[in-house]
Amino acid sequence: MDDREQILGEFGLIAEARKVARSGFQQRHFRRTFDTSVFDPDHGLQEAQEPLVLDALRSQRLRLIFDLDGFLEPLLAFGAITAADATPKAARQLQRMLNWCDLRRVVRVPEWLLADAVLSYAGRAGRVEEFLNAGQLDEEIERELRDWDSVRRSSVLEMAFLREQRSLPFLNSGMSTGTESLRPSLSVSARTSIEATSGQSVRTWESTDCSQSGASAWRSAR
Amino acid sequence: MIALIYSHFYNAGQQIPKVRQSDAADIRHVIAASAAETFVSNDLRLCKRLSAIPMNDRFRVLHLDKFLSDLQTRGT
Repeated sequence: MDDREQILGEFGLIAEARKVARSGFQQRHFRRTFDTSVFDPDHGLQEAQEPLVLDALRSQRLRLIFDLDGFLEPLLAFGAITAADATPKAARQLQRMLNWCDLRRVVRVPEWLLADAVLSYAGRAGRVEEFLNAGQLDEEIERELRDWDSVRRSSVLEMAFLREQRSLPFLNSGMSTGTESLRPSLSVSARTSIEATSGQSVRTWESTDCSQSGASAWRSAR
Repeated sequence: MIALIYSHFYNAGQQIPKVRQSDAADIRHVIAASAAETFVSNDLRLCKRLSAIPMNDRFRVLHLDKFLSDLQTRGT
């Protein structure tokens, strides 16, 4: 091999290395995140537009990541006043999130992310870890599920207050003040609604007792 | 974060008249979205507000319509 070939070979290797580096760089730039409302079949991505996204996902031109807040938001619909109208839509939203997003990469809680970013910028911490590891994910889910009941109780109080203060007819019609009737068990209602809407069960909500085994159900879904 | 809140309140040169209940969730979403390179939303107000913030780190905000048309024409 003469010098010229050697140089070209080296250049070839460099070109290959560049390709690899570029593909890694581009891979990073495929990561996108959807606002929760984009998953909404009524006001976001329409059913007719779905194949476009699915094609991009299949061909790995698009990778979607999400955060727990985005996932928990539609769950609130299961206890809403207009639950009958809202749950099929919310179920579809959750189904899309679970099917389309990369469940191995769940973005950390915004408060932590922001605090770490500030510390990192100030040179007080290293690189910001953007995603939850398995242990953190379990902890977060457990915390969210624990907090769910307290949120539910405060919502009930707010509703009762609104109903008394404003006497809104839609709030008064057929709404019980009991916690369970207003917002039934999260796990049971979510699972039932998703199954009723889609005709198939969604992996995450297989558990009947969400507070006890939600994290493990989530883990098995990943 | 400060820019986001500032643009939220003073984007049009004057303080916004009404704060929506979902505004807090939007701010949380956007912070989490910074882990990705593109944030896609169908909320025009949020897109407009975020576009007012100078961002150097290749972070882009796209409206859903623009994202879909990009997907259709360029495939990415």
